[in-house]
Amino acid sequence: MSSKKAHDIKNVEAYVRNVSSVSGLNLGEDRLKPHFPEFLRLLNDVEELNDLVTGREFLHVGPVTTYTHTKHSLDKKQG
Amino acid sequence: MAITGADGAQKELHELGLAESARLIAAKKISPVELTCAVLDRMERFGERLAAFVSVHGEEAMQIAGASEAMINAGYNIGPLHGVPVAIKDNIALAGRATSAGSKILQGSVADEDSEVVRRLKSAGANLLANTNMHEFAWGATSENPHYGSVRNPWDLERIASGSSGGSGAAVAARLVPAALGTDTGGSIRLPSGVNGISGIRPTIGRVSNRGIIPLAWSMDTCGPMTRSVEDCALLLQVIAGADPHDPGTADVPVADYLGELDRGVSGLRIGVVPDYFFKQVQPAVLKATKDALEVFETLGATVVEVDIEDLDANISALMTIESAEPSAFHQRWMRECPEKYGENVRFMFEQGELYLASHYLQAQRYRAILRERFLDAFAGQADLFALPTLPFTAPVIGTAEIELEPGVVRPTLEAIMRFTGIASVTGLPALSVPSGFDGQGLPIGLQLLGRPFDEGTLFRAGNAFQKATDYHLRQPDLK
Repeated sequence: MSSKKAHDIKNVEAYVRNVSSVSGLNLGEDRLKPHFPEFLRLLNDVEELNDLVTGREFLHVGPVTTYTHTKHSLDKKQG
Repeated sequence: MAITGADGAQKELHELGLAESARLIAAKKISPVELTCAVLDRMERFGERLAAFVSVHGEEAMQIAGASEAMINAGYNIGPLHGVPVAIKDNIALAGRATSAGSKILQGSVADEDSEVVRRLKSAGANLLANTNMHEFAWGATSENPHYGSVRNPWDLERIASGSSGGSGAAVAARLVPAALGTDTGGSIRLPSGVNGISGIRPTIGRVSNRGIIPLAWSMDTCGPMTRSVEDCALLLQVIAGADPHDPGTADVPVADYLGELDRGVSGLRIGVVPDYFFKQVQPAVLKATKDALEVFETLGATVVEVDIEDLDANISALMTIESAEPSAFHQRWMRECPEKYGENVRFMFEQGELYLASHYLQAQRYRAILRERFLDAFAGQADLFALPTLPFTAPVIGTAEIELEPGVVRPTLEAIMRFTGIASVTGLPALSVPSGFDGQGLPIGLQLLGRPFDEGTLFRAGNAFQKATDYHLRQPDLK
């Protein structure tokens, strides 16, 4: 059974506002607004991907391992 | 000063490619000082117009050229790139030089040690004379940089050089430098190679060390060569490839003799295509060039086979999710302490990357495993490599925000441009871009060859055979 769902702009607006606040990004209204339609579009694409990957035939598949990189001089700058 | 090249043609020094320059220096037919002078002069004349460089190290380059010349005259040849000028993208650390990744945040941040790829280039005798401009922090595909200028396409200065390694692409295409290094996460070597009419390879993930390179998305970042020919590409990868004990992301897989196998041709090779994806949502000129290229390969003795790889469309969503989330982790602190220092474009992307759920990111990583397995299955029984467009269109005008891929299908430029490069990025497979034609406006078209893990050699064989049968890679933009 497909779990795919289409998101609605109001829910996405609320979600983006909350993430902005909880994450400490604290975006002002002018920065928040462009994210609403764009993230709605991306989120609906992600749901397509989720629908595919969560299919029963792929239950055995784990994520690709993320590589670790060694430290270099910029770490000092990153603090 | 004109010189007779390997192909018998008269060339100015700045027109010599990487391998050709190295051979002529080794044979004492040209001097490293004369070559470096010619390259620096060319860079001075056109570098600013193209916004191709963040910094040029002219004085030091001339000192190194002098030393290279003294050594070669005394019978010392350091390595396969002795005395040859090479540029590096501005996110690759060069000790004693500012390495800013095209950003304001890292402006003036001097690297205290060489990146591993730079160490290997120096050991091979290369003269690293400039840092090339790029999309800020590599998160974008146009190289419209608010701090160092928008990189211009030398074939039409109103158009993008693509990116993020746009400065490397424009500089190599405009004959400002024989070769350059780029980095590729979602297509950043192959895209500027495609739109500027040069050759560039994204090596297999783990083939080249990332140590000392400012990351974009750790799980997909790669470093690779951008050159005027496949032979030059093979030579440059030969120098930088191989396991780095200090970068656990590299793989301990033997590096083949790329140059030794370059002329083996394509006879007997099976070239896979996925028509439902490779031939859809593509500009007509690009589609025609791709099909013409397949015919060239068939003429040379290869077989073109149709292969069915399911769910390819999802590669863009997976790519966007990972390429958004990972950089936002790297930039998390700066995004809170000094967000105003970012250009508007990348600042928006780093904000967006924080919106994804952890489960979104992990499902995207699981998709990578699924797609890679499907390609490995195809490589096991049906195809030796795949051929597809590098990008669906030729270079758009600077500032183009959306692209219509086919009637009614409009996508943001960033997603549209990565339609075909995303496949190698999410699977970790190697992919080589070679020039495959020009559109009606005289803009270059790129063809992408996608291969088995760590089998860059087969891609070089195929690309070299294609370049021996065509002349697209020899054409130059007219910069007056």
